[in-house]
Amino acid sequence: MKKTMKPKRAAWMLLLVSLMAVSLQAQNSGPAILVQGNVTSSNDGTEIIGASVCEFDVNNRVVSSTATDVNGHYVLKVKDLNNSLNVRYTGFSPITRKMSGQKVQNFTMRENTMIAEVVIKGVKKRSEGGYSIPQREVGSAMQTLDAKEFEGLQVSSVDEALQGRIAGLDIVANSGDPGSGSSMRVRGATSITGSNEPLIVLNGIPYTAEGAKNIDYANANTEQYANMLSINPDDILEITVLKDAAASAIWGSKGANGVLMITTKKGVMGKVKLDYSYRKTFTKQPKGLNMLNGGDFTMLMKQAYLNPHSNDAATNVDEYNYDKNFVDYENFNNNTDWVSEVSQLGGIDDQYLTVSGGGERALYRVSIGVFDQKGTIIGQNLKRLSSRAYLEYSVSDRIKFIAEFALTNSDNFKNYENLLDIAYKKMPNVGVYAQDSLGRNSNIYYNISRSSFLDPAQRDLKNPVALAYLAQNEAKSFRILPTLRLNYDLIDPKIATLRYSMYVSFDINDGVNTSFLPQEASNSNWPSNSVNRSTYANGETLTIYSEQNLSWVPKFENEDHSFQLYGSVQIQSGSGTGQGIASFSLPSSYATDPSMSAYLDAASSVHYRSRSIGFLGRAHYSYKSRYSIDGSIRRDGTTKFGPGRMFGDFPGINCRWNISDEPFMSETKSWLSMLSVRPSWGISGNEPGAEGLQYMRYGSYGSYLGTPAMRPVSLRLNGLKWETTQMFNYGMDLGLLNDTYTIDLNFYHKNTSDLLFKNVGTSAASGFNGMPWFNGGVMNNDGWELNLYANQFIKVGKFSVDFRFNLSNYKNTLIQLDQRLLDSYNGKFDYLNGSYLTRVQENNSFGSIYGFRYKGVYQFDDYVEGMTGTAPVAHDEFGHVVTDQAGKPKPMWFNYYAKEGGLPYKFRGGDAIYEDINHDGSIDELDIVYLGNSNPKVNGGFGPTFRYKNFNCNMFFVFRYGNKIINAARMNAENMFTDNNQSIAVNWRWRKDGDVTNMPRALHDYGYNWLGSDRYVEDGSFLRFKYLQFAYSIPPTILKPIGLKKASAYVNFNNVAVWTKYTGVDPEVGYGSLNISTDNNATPRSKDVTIGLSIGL
Amino acid sequence: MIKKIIYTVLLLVGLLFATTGCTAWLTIKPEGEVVLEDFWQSESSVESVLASCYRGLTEDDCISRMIVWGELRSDNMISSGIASTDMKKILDGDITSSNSFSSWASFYSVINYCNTVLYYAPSVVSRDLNFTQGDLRRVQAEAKTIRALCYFYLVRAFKEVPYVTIASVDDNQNYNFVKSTEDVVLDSLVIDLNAVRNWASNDFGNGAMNKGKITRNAVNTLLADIYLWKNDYTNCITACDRVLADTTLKLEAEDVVYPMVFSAGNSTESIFELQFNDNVQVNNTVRSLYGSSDFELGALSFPATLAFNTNDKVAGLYSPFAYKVPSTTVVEGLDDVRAKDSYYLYGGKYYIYKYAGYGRIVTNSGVTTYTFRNTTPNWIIYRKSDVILMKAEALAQLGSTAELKEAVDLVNLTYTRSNVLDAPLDVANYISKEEVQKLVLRERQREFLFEGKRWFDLVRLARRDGTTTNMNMYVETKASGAGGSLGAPVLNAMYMPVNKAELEANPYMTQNPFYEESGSSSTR
Repeated sequence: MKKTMKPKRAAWMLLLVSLMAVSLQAQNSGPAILVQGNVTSSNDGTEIIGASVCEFDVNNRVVSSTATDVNGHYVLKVKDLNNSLNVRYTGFSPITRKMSGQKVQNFTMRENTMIAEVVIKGVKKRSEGGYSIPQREVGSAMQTLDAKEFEGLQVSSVDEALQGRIAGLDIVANSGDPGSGSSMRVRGATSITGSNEPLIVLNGIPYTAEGAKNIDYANANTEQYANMLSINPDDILEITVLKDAAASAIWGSKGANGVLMITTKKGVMGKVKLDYSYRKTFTKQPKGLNMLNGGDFTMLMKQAYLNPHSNDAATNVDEYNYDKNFVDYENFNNNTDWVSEVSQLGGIDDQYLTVSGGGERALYRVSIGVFDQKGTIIGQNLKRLSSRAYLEYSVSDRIKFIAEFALTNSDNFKNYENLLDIAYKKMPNVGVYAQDSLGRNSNIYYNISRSSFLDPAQRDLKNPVALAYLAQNEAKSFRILPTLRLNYDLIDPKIATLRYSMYVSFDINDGVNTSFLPQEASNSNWPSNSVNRSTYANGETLTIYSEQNLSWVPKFENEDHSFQLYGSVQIQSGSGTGQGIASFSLPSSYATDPSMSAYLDAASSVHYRSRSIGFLGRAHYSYKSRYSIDGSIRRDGTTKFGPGRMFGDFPGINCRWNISDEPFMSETKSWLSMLSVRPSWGISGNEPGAEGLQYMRYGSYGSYLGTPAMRPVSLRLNGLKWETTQMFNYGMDLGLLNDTYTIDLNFYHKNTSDLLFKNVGTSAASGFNGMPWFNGGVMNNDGWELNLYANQFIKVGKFSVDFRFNLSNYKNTLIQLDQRLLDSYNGKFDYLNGSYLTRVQENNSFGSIYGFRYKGVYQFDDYVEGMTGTAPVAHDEFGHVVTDQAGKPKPMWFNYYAKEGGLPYKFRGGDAIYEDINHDGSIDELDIVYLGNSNPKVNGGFGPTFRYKNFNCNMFFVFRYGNKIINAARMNAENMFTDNNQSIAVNWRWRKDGDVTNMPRALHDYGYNWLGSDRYVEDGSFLRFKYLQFAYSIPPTILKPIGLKKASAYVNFNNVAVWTKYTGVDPEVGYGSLNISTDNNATPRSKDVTIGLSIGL
Repeated sequence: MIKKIIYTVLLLVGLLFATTGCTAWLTIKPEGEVVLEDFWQSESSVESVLASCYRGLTEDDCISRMIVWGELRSDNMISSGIASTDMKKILDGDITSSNSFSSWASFYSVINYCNTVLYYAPSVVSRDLNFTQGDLRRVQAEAKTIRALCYFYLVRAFKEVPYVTIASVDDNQNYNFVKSTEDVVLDSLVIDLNAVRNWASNDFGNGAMNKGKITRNAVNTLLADIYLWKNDYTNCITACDRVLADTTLKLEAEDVVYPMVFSAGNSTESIFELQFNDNVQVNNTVRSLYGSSDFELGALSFPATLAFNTNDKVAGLYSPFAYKVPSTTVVEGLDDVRAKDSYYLYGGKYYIYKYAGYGRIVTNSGVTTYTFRNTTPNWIIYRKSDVILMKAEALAQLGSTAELKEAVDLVNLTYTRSNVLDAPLDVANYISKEEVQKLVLRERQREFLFEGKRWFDLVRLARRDGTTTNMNMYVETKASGAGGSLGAPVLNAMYMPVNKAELEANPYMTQNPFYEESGSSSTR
């Protein structure tokens, strides 16, 4: 019996909504009653033309409506004379009156010249997932940032605005290139090779473009979070970060890295409001390393060529000789500052327009933003057009439709290669343009000939200026997100809330990447496969999200109790396709279409589909708002795993006890406005970033002799499962002096098991490069966060000050790792310059750096008894020189035992000194020690806001402390090993016996002067004065006469100053492989000045 | 009322957790690819995976290893200044496990395709009536021969390698392979090849197919090559004879050797050559190492100490051309066309021309111009000259007077076609067995310059000698005065080290003896 009932009831529930319209039609069939009357103004009795007259039923649903004619007269067919009529007209107060059986209804409307200011003191509510609970009953760890805090700042995407604002959210921008995105970590890294980026939820709907990860139409890089770029920061109302698993468990398998919930602005009731703002920003790149000029560089190179073998012939390199007989003499006698050649003053123009308004029935808001950024490197340009529309319409008090529509179109003109990196390497004695025999610049970009005997690495460096102006690398994206929502109260909200709500959202993403390298920008001849090379890749994805949910909030007689129950089903279905084509040796540099007749290098296509389903149940109970408990369970199913492993359960529970509400605390109430404790526990998950892993797949592999080839492309992963994170959070809230000071503090313990690893090496004898994904390992994260907000803690007359401060710390520990992974990560040292030994150890932090200890430079070549200087001889542990039987001192060797098949090298004067930890006279793997960790000890931000009358001054500082960075940029600029340009620091290099310096001698392609050592591992601590803002809003008394509602002007200084010991350009370096930060000359964050104006009508 | 609502809510929540129906909805197969469960239904699956076995061999990673393992360390090659770092290191004798050419992955990928065909193809016979038992045998012959060829490359480069014959399918399998000895691997290959040599096709009905796919001749040639490596000379000769018995296999005539064999490809003397195509697969390795029209000066060149300049008739001290046979007046190859076709002089360096060019053009006034190809060349694995000279090498090792004579006669087949002006070589001028052996080695060097054979020829020499002394003498001739040990100090140093990544990924893998960590620097 029950079995037959269930579908019937469910069907009834779901059909109810769609039947609404039909039932309306059915009511229409009754006898029509005509009601008529006039609408006049109370001021002068004139007729009001075009006033709307509506009939409402008991549920305040509009049943019929009309408008008054030129005589202010109306006739309306009404359904029931017991319903009410409502008359409204802009500028007049609306009137609602019961018809009470009368067929003539006249209205006299009053002009609403003055609207009294109404102060509403409400309870601040925290709402997410269609379920809202008072802030003071929230037991999980979350923090909200109001968009007002970054209003007027020039930020191109949300992550920039969030930096340093949220305790426990560490954000590092990938680079200063426009649109390059950032890496975010909520409470530290939880995964080793899986994704560590948090889930982004926009207005309750997952926003992370699932498809974009699968359809990797651009080259795979970490820039996926640049997709935050498609949300205009001006549209944002607030951002909430869910930090603990109890809160993120409601996002189940996607929530392990934390959740960023973004809410956008909605329409507000009132007259039409028009707001316009314009911001103009000037950006300048900070000065980086000082590089050698042409003369110093060639002198260095001659030494570098001479030193290894003391062979004069070796120094006879035409390019360094300044010999007029050399055909290319004029092209190699220059003095080019490549860095300044590729740098420019950047700028941003940002315009933003909003129209909003609405009445009781409908609210709307439409915004459009136009953003245009010129990068600080030549050739970079990012354009973005974004638009968002919000329309809310209440059919009755119980039914509400909401339609949202967002569109973003961005066009990013990127550099073909990292120009700054090339500029730092490119030899300064060559010029930008080819020169004739008299040294006059031609209009042709100069490239070093392929037949030159310089290192290929230098010879084949492209001309960065030519790349900027001739080569093309453009990423276009187009994203549309239409969403439809419906809320329907199944019973009268006055009795209790039983609300059914649903949404359907489409995320349509379209991306095109094109690139072209003309032959003129490189030294390769046509038809080499790297020139006149054109690529085109496009991808489109469609993701459909849908959620059906039911929430129930009963009303209790005893108002001390409050209870909510919430259940939902979320369905996601995504699909996408991508195509790519690359061809080379196109006939002309002006025809850039890859489908031209040329050599086809590669053509590929990708298809993907994914589905997932989530069932969520949540309950919240509170007694007197003093004791609260909240529990949730989510069951997630996905297409990513095989049978038996498709579903995962993710529970969460949290409690809160507001101690300050206890009667025994009444004495302290005067100064202690809030004291609460909030323990929570939850489990959330993380899934692999690819589909179809549970299958052995056969894919296309070109052809052989006309037979199309198919090959197995992946191993079937029978054992793959979710990565699960279990988290305990112990939080407390403190409010002092009527919440003038609010503090929240969280301690957490996070345990991630079945860590997901990507591309785990297996024996190549299997025919595969490795396991695409693999579970194996456990990691812990322990940490704490402190967040303080002082609201107008200083208030003198019209002057007030706010202050915010947050601080967080975490430590991650690798508890256990599969032996296979330990083996593959803990490789042997490769005995090459510049490489750091990677090592992952159990019970150690992830992101650790290992290398040699650098001890300066050997002052002398030979050891002389009793000398005070340093010479390359072995010392025992007591510091005595080790001698052989003949009493001769034993020399220091590098890799004496020829490990890894490398040749041993005997150190000479002027070579780098590495600490011989085991005193065996040989610098080898056994002398490698721990040098530090890339995880910051603490990070956070702080800043005051000053207000005086209409002036406002806002400052914000961010800082990280105690993280180590490998300064690879400096390593490459000081190694004197290649033909690349070097920094001026090498002018202090060792040149002759006895020189006291820390800079070794120049050795071209020889020796071991730049082994991975602490010489390049630097403290990345910094304090950045992130911005300083002055804002002035013009008082309404001045504005009124000129017809403006509001107007404000501001000046912003972004990235005002950085205090750091780090010697690189910018201490803010993102995480690389194995969470180690390596600085590779990414474009540094610019220094900006913005002036802005915003007006409202 | 309230009760009813609670009931409804509970019912719905219950419904939410009823997940059984969702399993089907959550099962989707990847698009654009075929899953194993749906594959192997028809002949086309067999043929397409078999095509992958060949396609895999045409990867740059495979061709570059055939050149690096087979020839780079020999006397035939030096850097022209722009070779990659890894190649330069090998040329300097500084070979480490981090060198990318110590990776065998590309060959094992092909082996896995072969294993996959061999494992699944038999099941297709019952599913697709078009796929007969005869078809299956032919497919098995091709797959087993390609697999054997891969293993033979691996054994020659590494000596001991894991011998895997099981297809890799899922993560439950054990991939911690251990190495098998050279004998185990080679003996298995011999058994395999003998089993399938008559199953292979004689004729695919198309010129390119007959050269680009495994034929009976290809199986027998590979067998001969393996027997020769094992010093099993009589079996080697038998296998060679089976190939030489095929009368359709003819050496190209003297005046068209270069244009037919290396420029056009799929010549009448070709036995097995990997097919490249401009639109499908470009032979990038040969283009960059040897040169092509966009890049005439390849990364590798021929040492001046070995080169013979046919214009001014000046030969390097150790040149195999214009070679004066000791204690006689005979000078071999004074007008050898191979000295003109294989390399050319530019800017004081002898750049590789074989494969890189279309063919020389000599004007009436005697001016030679070299034209370069802008199309992609095939890569020859075996051609008839190789079989002839393998047989000659085996006969020279057996060493009876009659055998020596036959060996010299065989050498004359390739020698006279490239030296039309010279008299054939006379066995009387090669007084000892050793001299004949040296002659064969020299002729192989002249004939197969830059074809990825020379280092293996020298390794065979050293293996017979039991020492690398003679081998090193040859190798060191390419060093122009600077000296240094370019060959291999000991026999084990002739092989490559196992790649670092392989050792890290597989705890059961051991490094090759010469490169083990305990190796002291004194051994070099």
